Amino acid sequence: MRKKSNIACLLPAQWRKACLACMVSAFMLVSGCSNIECPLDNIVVMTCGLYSAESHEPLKLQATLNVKPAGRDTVLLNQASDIKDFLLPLRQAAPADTFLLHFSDNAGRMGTDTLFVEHVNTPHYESIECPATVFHTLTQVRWNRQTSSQFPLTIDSVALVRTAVNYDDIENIRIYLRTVAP
Amino acid sequence: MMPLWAQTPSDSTRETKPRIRGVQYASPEDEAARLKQHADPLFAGVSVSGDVCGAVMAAFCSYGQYEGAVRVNLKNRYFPIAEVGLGRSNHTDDESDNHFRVSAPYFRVGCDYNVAKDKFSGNRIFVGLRYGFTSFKYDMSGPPIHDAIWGTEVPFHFTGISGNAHWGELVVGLEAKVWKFFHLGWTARYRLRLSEKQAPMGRAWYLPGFGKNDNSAFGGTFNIIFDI
Repeated sequence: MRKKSNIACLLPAQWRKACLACMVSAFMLVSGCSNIECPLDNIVVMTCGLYSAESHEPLKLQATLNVKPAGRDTVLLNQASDIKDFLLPLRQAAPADTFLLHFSDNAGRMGTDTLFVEHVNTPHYESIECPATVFHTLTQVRWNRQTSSQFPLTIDSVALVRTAVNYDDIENIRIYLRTVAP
Repeated sequence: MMPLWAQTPSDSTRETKPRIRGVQYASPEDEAARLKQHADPLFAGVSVSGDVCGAVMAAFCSYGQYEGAVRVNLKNRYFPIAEVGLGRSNHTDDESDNHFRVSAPYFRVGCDYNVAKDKFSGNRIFVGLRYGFTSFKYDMSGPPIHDAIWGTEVPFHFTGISGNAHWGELVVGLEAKVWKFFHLGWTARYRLRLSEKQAPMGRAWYLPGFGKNDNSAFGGTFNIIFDI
C-alpha cells in the first residue's frame, strides 16, 4: 500500500480539522472588500423656482438676474436670464441669510428685491470616507421690495415647499413674481 | 494450467462466510457502555465559548469584538445559544481624515441545528439563526468644514451620539472535538440589518456585533469551546 507523504497526515484528524478552521478564519479575517460611496453631487444648495403670481405656473425669466449676499461683494448668481430656477448656497456657520436679487433688462431698468432665509444648520457626513458638509433645514422665508426699484417685476410671495436642503436638487422655495407699474 | 488458475476469481477459492450486519461488540458490557454513551437525553450539556477571531481583530484592526457565548445542548441536535460581546472600533479614514470611535456591548440569541450524520461524534456541522441587538454611543470627528463663500469654518466634532441597531444572522459552522470537553470551531455569518437608529449628522461607521454598517455584512468567528 502506498503511503501518503502529505505533512497533514502527520497530524491527528482532529488537529487537522482545527488547522482547517484556523485557515478559514484567517481567510475571513483578511478577505474584506471596501468601496467608497461618496455622493457625486456633493454640493449643498437651496433650489429656488420662479413662478408667475398670476397663473402660478413656472415662469421663464426674460430679464437678467444677479444675486449677491447682503454685506459681501460676492456674486452667487451672475447675469442669469432665460431661467426657471436657480441655486443659492446658504451660510454654514450662521442661521440666516439675506440675498439681494438684482433684476435688470436691456432698457436699463433695474430693481432689487431682498430675500431673507432662516435655517438650522446640521453638519453631515455621508460616509467616513467622504468629507463632511453642512445640511440645512429651512425654518422661515421672508422678502421685501426696495423702494428705489424701477423694474416692472417684483416678488409677490415666497412659498417654502421643501425644508431640507441637502444633496438632493429638489425645489426648496417657490418665488412668485408679479408685474407692477414702474 | 497456471495462467488459467490466475484468471479464476479469487472468491471462488475462498470459503464463503455468513455476512454479519450491524455493529458487533466484544461483550454485552461493551454494548451496554455504548448504549449508555449514546443515550439521547433532552438536556445533553452546556458549553461556553469565546471568539478568538474577533479578539484578534479588536486588538490589531480598526474594529473587532470581544465575544463570549453560552450554549445549551438539546439531544445533540438543537443548540440554543446566547452571545454577548463588546464591539470596539477606533478608525481614522486615510482619505477624509474623519475619525470614528465606539465601544459598546451587543447581544445575540438564536439556535443552531447540528446537521452531522453522527450526532454523537463530538464533531458537528451547524446551521443556525441569530437575532442581534446593540445600543451604543459613538464619537465622530474630522477636519472643520470650510465655507468657501464666507470664509468661515464649522467644527466637525461630536461625542456621545446615540444609536441602536437590530439585525438577523444566518450561521453556518463547523466544530471539532479536540480533547474530551475541549472543542474548536468556526462559524461564517451573513448578517442582514433589520433596523437602525440614525443620527442626523450621519450613520455610524461600525455597529457593535454587526460589523461595518451596511444593509448586510459578512462575518465569522473562530471559537474555543468548553463543555461544562
